[in-house]
Formats: sequence, structure tokens, C-alpha cells
Amino acid sequence: MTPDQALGVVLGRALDLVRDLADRWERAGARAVWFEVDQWPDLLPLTGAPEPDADDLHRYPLDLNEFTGWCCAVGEMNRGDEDLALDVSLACRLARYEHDIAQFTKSIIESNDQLLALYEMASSRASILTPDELATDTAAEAMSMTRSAAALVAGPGGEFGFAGDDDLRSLLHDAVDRLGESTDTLVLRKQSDQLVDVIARRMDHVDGAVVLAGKPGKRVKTPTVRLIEAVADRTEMLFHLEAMHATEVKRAVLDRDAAAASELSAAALPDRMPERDGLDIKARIIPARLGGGDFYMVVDTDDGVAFSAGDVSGKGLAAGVVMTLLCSTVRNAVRRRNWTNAGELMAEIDVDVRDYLESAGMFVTMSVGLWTEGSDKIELANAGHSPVLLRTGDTVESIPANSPPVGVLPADSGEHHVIEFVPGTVLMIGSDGLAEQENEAGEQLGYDVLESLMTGEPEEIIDNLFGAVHDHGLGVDRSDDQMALVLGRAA
Amino acid sequence: MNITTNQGTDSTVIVLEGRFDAHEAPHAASVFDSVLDEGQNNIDVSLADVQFIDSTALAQLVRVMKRCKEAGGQFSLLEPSDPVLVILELTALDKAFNIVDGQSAEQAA
Repeated sequence: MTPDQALGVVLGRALDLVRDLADRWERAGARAVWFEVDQWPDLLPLTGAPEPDADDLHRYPLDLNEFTGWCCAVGEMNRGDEDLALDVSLACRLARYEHDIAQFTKSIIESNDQLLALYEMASSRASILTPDELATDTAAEAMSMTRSAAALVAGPGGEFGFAGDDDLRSLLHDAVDRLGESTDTLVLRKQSDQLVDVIARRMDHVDGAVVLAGKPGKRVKTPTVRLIEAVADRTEMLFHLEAMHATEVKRAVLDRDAAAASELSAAALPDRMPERDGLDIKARIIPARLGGGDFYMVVDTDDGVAFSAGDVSGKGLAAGVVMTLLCSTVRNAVRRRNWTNAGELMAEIDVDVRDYLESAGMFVTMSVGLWTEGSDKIELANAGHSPVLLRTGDTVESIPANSPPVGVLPADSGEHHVIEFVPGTVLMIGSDGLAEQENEAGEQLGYDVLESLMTGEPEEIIDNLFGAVHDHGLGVDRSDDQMALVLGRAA
Repeated sequence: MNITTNQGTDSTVIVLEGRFDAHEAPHAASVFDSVLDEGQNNIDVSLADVQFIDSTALAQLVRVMKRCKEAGGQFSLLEPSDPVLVILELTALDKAFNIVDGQSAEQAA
């Protein structure tokens, strides 16, 4: 990539981000907004026509890794200089961060390329031939190689594949029956209309046999007897490869995928919680082997906290990558402060990620909340997420969704709940992986059980939830991530 | 999961039976795509005999709904079973999908 192309990539993303900012500046009174980049000869207009010599010129430093310069605007704006400079600084930070994420994702994808190619190769054979077709194909190949009149590939359940003269089919089945366990290779002379030589070779590892019938009236020569051993070995190997395709190769890809998703989760989730008087926040997440889509985020605001928890549809690396995008989007949307309530914050997040989710064919169920220190209220916007449980006194209620998941429909402007959050109240946002954990009989834990576990302080609630889910699912793989974010209002 | 495709006069009805989850979603996606690729943009998906649905499966239904609408067609979910209806309500996806329950279907008939 040339420096100009690199500039294009970084600036391209920054331009997207700053274009929103430019629109807002225009509404705030700017006549024009543009970039002046030290490494670029021309001005890059965002809105209006640049006026570098205007009296009411505002210039704020631009820092996009190796590219530096100024974001410029002209006009009497109804926002302070410090505010405008912060806009530019945040847009630059976001552009750099997203550039880094893109590089990281690219490197993960490249590292998977070899395994995926192998998987595709194995898949293509499976997609061309079903196991039955594979057996028939092998029988035809064996017949051709040995210049026989008919060939049979038998498995534990009887005939698996057959090729050649159908009149000889029963002779070949007789040979399988007579092969027994003590003989590897059997040579028989069978009386059909004419004398026919039949050779059978056992395949121990797949519990089957390959049987050939020579041409009627012609003796099978010794080299053919040896050849059938090679044919049987080759057939056995083919079936092994087929089995390997279904297990080992796929598992290798999935393990790599799961490991990458797990690394992404660990990097994206907060490593500590903000501390606020009167608020106790606890969270726990246990990823499934092929999970990676659950997330939670708690961000300090000037006067309280913003929090979010959700679940990306889908599994594996794709869900993991979208999850990291969501975490950074939530963090940045909170910090941009272009919202006045939780519903507007959700709408802001929706605008940032909707196109991406639509193109990926995914959606995200999530809740976003706001609490101001000392307040007895909490605002919560719920986009199709459950369970969201609120305990007030001895009563536990479920907080319904305000809207479908993010990425399904354009977000409404600001629908949200305002919830009483007096001392003693506890709010829990969990993931469906808790309620839908199955036991050995295939029964789910259920949402009702989660409600009954909402007792005690946040730490205790998390221990209760994960303990119950663990006990219920003993001996059963976790098929989905399990996550809970619990906020308790302390006295 | 069993998938049956029936060509009606106005729409293609895809009947799903069993558990519709992340493991079954790729198979279902290939059936949906083959119907869409044939130019059938009016699709009804019967969920009467689906007892479990997860978010990956729901994402497939959302994707197909969007493709139908983009092509000027219609997409409906027919008679979702009670467990599926609960999930659609919990996720508020009942606001996004056109859902035809047994009663509506009888009235339409």
C-alpha cells in the first residue's frame, strides 16, 4: 500500500466519522468544514466551500497516526472552541482505533486462510459425493483398476456400493458372509452360468469389505489378488479421509475460530468497573466453546454511569468481531454525548452499526441504561433483549423490549423505560444462554428459575445464577455464552 | 430439522419442523436462498412445528425478510408455535415480522 493509499484508507474512515460532525457543525452555524492535511496538497471539503482566509476561521489539530493537519470550519457557531476541539479529537481517536481493529481483524482472517482452504477442499469432496455415492464411486474405480466384472463395497450394514454386472451381485454378498473374522483375503471359485473367481478383502478399521468378481470363465491372476489389497487399503483411506473431513479438519478450524473469538472478547470487555457511591456493579461472562457474541460495557459519564449488555446473533469469530465493534461503538456513543436519554443513546448506537449489521446479516439484542449518581431513577432502552429483570423489595419483574434488536429496523427516536431505582433495587441484564442451558434430558433451565434466583446483593445474585446454570447443565456442553451484568442500588 | 418447500399460487411456503438453531441455520439459509434465487419474493415460513429457535435462526429469518422486501415481495411467519411466539415477543421481533396466527389464517380463508 502506498502512503497515498494508506492516507486514503485512514482518511476515508475519518471522513465518514467527521462527516456527521460536519453536519452538526453546519447546524450549529458553520458555513463550511474542511480538512487541511500536511501530507496532502489539496484541501478536502466536507461541507460548503473552504474559505482559508475568512475572519471567522476555526482550526483544530488533526492526528491520524502518520498523517497530521487541521480540521477547519468557518462561521459563527453556537458552540465553544473547547467543545469543537473535543469533537475533532474524539473523531480522530475513533478513526485510529477502528483502523487498528480493521488491521487486527484482517490479520486474524489471514491466519485462518490456510485452514479454511483445507476445510474447503475437504468440503468440496463431501459436497460432490455423499457417503453412498463415495462407496459406489469406489466400487466402480476398483472394478476398473482390476478389470473385474463387478465390485462390491460392503459396510457393517451390508452393501454400501456396487458396480458392474448385476447378475454377479449375490455371489459377491456370499463372499462377504464367508469372509469371517479370521481371514483377510478370500479367493473363491463360484459357479454361476460359468465359473467365476471371487476375491474378498476385509477392511478392519471400517468394519467392511471390498469384493471383486473376475470375468466369467476367466481365472483371476495373482497380481489381481495383490491389487485388491491395495484397493481395500485405498478404500479404507478414503473413508478415513471422509470421517476426518467431518471431525478433525472441521474441529481444527472451529478451535482456531473459537480461540480468536475468545481473545477478541477478552480484549473488548472492560477489565474494571467504574466506582460510584451508591452503586454496586458486578458482571460475569462464560463464553461457550463456539460463542463470542455476548458482551457488557460500563462507562463512566461525568455524573454517573452508562451501561450496556447484549448478545450478537450468530456464533464464532464473526460474532466475536461484531461484539468488539459493539463495545467500541457503545463506548464512543456514550462519550460523544449527543443524547439526552437512554433511548437517544440507543438510536445513536443503531445509526453507527446498522449498515454493518445489515451487510453481515446479523442483529444484536441489547439494553442500554443511564444512571446519574444519587438518582432514584434509571433509564433503560431495551432493543429485543432478555432476560432483563428488576427486583424491587420482594418483587421481581421482567422489563420488556422497547424495540426489535439493533440492525432489524431503523431505531425509533428515544423509546425507553424510566425505572424506579431506589436503595435495595437490583437490575440484572443476562443472556439467553443462562435460561436456555439444557440438562441431559434436553430441558432448559427457564426464565422463571432466573427470577427466583434474584436474591441478595449483586455478587450473590451472580453466584446464584451461574451456580444454578452450572448444576442444571452438568454433563452437557454449553451451547451459548452465559453473561450477567447486575447493578444494585446501595443504601 | 425437516424443511419442506411448497409452491403456492401467490407465494412459496417453507415448512420448518424441529429445532431451528445455529446448527440448522446454514441448511435453512441454503433453502431460503435457492427459493429467492429462483425469483420467488413472496415467502411464507411455517413455524407451527418448530419447538425451539435461537438468535442465529432469527437472524436468518430477518435476512430473508429484508431480501423479500428489497425485491418488492412479502414475507410472513405462519402460525408460530407457543415457544417461538414467546421468543418473538421477548425480542420484540413480533413488531418487525408479519405474523399470521391460526386465527388470522382461518379468517383469511
